Amino acid sequence: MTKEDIVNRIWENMSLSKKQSAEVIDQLLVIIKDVLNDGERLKIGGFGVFEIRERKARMGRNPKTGEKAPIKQGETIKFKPGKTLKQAVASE
Amino acid sequence: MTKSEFIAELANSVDYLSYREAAIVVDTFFNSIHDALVAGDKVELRGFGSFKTKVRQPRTGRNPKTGDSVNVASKRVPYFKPGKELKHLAE
Repeated sequence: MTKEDIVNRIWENMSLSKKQSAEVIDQLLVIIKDVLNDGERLKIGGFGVFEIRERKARMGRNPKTGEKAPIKQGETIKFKPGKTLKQAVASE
Repeated sequence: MTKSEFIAELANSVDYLSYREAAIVVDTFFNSIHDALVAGDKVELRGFGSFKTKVRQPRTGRNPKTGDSVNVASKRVPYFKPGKELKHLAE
């Protein structure tokens, strides 16, 4: 599934044009990024939580060559699935 | 931020979208991903990231209270991989 499929689903279910449906989904993604960028977590009941987590510096490995490569300290996006989503996925 | 605050934010930033409509958009968006993951599909959102499921191998766990070992069956779990743009933003 791609963004296009989600846009089509919005377009089919609502009285928005195709262009508006695409704009709305783009805007939705921009807001998620902005919220996380502000250091806030986003909690969608039943689906899960998006948040920024700190990543410690560590020694990694280039999986192609096997050489050691340092991984910088930084931040990473963490998605923690909610109970409903976890159960639905596990029961399939 | 909660879902209702998120819906309000979306309704505020798009002039032709009411709160009620924004709620439908947000529900449709997350339901689509939910349904795809349950069906075993992968969801790719360019620039944002991708959602898919991974299979956890069966393992021997422990009851943290009693210390008894218990068998944990293999199971499918949802997984999100942030895209380059999103990772970059977090730098």
